Amino acid sequence: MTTKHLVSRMVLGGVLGLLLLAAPAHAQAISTFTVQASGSVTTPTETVNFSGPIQLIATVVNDPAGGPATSVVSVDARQLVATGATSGAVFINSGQAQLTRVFGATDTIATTFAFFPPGPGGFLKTRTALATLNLTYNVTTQALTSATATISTAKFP
Amino acid sequence: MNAGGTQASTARARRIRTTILVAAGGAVIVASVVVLVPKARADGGGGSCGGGVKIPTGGCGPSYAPVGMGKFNQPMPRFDVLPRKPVSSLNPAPTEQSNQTQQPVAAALGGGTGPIEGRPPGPLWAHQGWNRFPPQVAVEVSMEGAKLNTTYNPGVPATLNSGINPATPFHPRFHPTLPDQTATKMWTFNGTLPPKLVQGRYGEAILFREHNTLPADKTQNGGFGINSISTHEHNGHHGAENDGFTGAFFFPNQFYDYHWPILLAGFSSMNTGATDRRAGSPDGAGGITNVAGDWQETMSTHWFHDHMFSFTSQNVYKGMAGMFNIYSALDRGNEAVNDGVNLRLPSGTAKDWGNLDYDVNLMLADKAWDPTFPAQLYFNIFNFDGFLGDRMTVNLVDNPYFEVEARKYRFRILNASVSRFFKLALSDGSTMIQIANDGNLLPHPVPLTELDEIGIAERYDVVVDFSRYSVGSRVSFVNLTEHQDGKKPSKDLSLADALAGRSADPVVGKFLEFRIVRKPALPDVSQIPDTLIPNPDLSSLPVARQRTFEFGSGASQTTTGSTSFTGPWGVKTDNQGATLAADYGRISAAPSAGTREVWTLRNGGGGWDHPIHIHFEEGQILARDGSAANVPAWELGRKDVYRLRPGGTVTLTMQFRDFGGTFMEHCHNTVHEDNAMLVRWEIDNGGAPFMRPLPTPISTPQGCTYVPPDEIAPTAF
Repeated sequence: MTTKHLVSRMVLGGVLGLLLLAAPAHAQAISTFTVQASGSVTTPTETVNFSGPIQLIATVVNDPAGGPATSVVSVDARQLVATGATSGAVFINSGQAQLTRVFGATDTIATTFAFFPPGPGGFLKTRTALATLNLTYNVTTQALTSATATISTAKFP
Repeated sequence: MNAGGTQASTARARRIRTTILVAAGGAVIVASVVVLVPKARADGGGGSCGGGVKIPTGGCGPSYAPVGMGKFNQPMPRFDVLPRKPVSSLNPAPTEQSNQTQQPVAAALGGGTGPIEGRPPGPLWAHQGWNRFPPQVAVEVSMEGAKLNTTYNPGVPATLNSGINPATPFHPRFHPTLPDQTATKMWTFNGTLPPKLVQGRYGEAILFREHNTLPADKTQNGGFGINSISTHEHNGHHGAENDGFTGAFFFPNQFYDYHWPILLAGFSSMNTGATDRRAGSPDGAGGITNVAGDWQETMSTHWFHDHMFSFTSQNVYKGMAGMFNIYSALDRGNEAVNDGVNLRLPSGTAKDWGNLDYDVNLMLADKAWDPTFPAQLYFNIFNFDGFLGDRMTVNLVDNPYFEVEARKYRFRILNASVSRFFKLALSDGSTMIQIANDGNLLPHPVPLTELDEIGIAERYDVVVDFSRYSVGSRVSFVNLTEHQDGKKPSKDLSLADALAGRSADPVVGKFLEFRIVRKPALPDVSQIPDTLIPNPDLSSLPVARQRTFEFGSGASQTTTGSTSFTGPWGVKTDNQGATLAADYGRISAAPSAGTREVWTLRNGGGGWDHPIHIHFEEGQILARDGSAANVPAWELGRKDVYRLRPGGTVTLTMQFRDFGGTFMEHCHNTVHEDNAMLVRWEIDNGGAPFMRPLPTPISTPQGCTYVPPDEIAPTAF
């Protein structure tokens, strides 16, 4: 695997807010984050370098029946800038996901997304990237407290 | 009270009545017993196997699966295309009002006489638009117990159906190594597998006549299910009399004529002169027959299923589900017609419309088998959280393979499970292009490597381009969503973890293997345009009302009688009073005909999810959790199922037009729906024959009567 891993630290200044909502039937904590991501993906023709923000919204919801809390993590990677290392071509992506997770102090999410050249029919020429997100929560407030993000080549058997 | 009335008025009694089949020395003894249902509780009472994952729900230990059965060793059958017949072939001829000709009623149903048609009588439930849109095609089916299929029509040659010879009788079984389902365990349209497909086109009204040929004795049910039925054409823009209202059920030896006119919404107020070619239908000869209505309301992928009050989950699980592809000028089912209107989506070219060569219906459903009665369907009727099976089926066969050519295919994916959500990816992580959500093509295609969780009753149409694979290679659909119970998904796995088997949920992982068997016989001329169907712009229409529906647990019941049911689930309307359990005699909302409203659907808790289905009218999602920015790209089109997510809200807007009557809104986790998360709403001020409020039909084998509504919510009108 020729993927080059470039991990960036979360931009703490990108924390937009934490909202705790209380309702009679349930309580939930919503954390909104922007994390700077970077990395590269190897394609058959060239390496594509990624850099830019990923928007995260982590909603932690408690089960009034006493079951484990659930976190729903919204991932929006569409602002990532992707550039072909050889061609200089710019790629766009459709990196949106709504992921159900078991809430805990830490969570590692690996999710794939498609990237492709802009313009008509560009979406017919997609490639796949892998976003790996490492999230840390305050288990008391259920707030998302830190995150890192890496972009790499998606390779499956 | 007559005996028929007794059956109709004892919904709760039916709910707790079950039948046990006992295999003894090769003989099958049928014994009817009444089982007391435990008092409903929020955690529902799952399996008794201790902690951790309890799948199948209510089961304990491994399910019945023969050693070495494996996966991907049987072909996936295409749907069985139902014949389209002349309306004149129907006997008796269909009528505008229900045919109340009397016939003897079986003693098990109370005896005496009753009408041959189960549709409620009189003008209130007459077919709306009958004279303007008379039926032009008939589809006639029966609901009956499982049997061999000797008339299988996949609509494609065997080369496009993984080599399945349609002349070979098709068994009602999930795998060749398993026994056939018995006639009491599996009830399907025409009693056979594969599941059925109706093909229709805009402007060509279909008369869907359904005969109920189930046993008159309701205890002959294999332990679950009920013999009174009501079929909902899911996503249909029809009059309420054809919607499969939960209280308009019919009995063994009756039929029900459903009139599906297949019209573009707005036909009564927009493009009434049918001058826009985009509002059209294939004419059978390469051209377009213009139709009235809004072309931006064109629909494509529907399904139909039972909607019997408090028994939908059991009946659908038994097999009462089919799909309905609607063809139009835009979505023609012919990829070669290049007329500037046809979107030329993957389909085929041989027929003018409705080619299925490269347009494949996929019905996903998890099932469980009873270890006591090997490989017969198993269902737990005592758990109110939801039911999970431990075996994955596609088109009602277990973990199959499907042979494809190296070209583009359209897959119309339906989640027909009881309570399970799925999240699909291809095993190599490559891209699918989502083109439709529920019945509707999206404004723009969305390339995705992982689809969103598809809730129960949702439909995702995706295009997969197999030309990127070499002949001889294989790739699979993989389910990434894990459940621990029927309340909601517990976790979405990464593709790598799902492939590695890192889940205790046996339905996570590969479930459908695509085998790329050859290059296409003909060039692939299909397209996926950058623009599909833009949404109708409703912004200029005033919002007549805003309503709120909160879906929660701990419901109370304010009514009694045959139309009400008590369960743990319920709906609170407009923040008024308590969360109420279902009563189809209660009117919770009554939008005025011709208006637009904004509805907010709120999940009242964090411990469960609810995919909410609103009948009749489609909506556009304005916001999730209060923000338009939270609406993902694949939900930017029109929808009819809105999954709320734990603690979440969905705000949507709809118009109410063209037809009236009594409709519903409910959770499509059908265990929640049945126990008792369902509300009735109606459109009753569009003129005669309607009245305000509408009466409630009370169906019995001896005939249907009407009673006034039990209750009207203070904010309904």
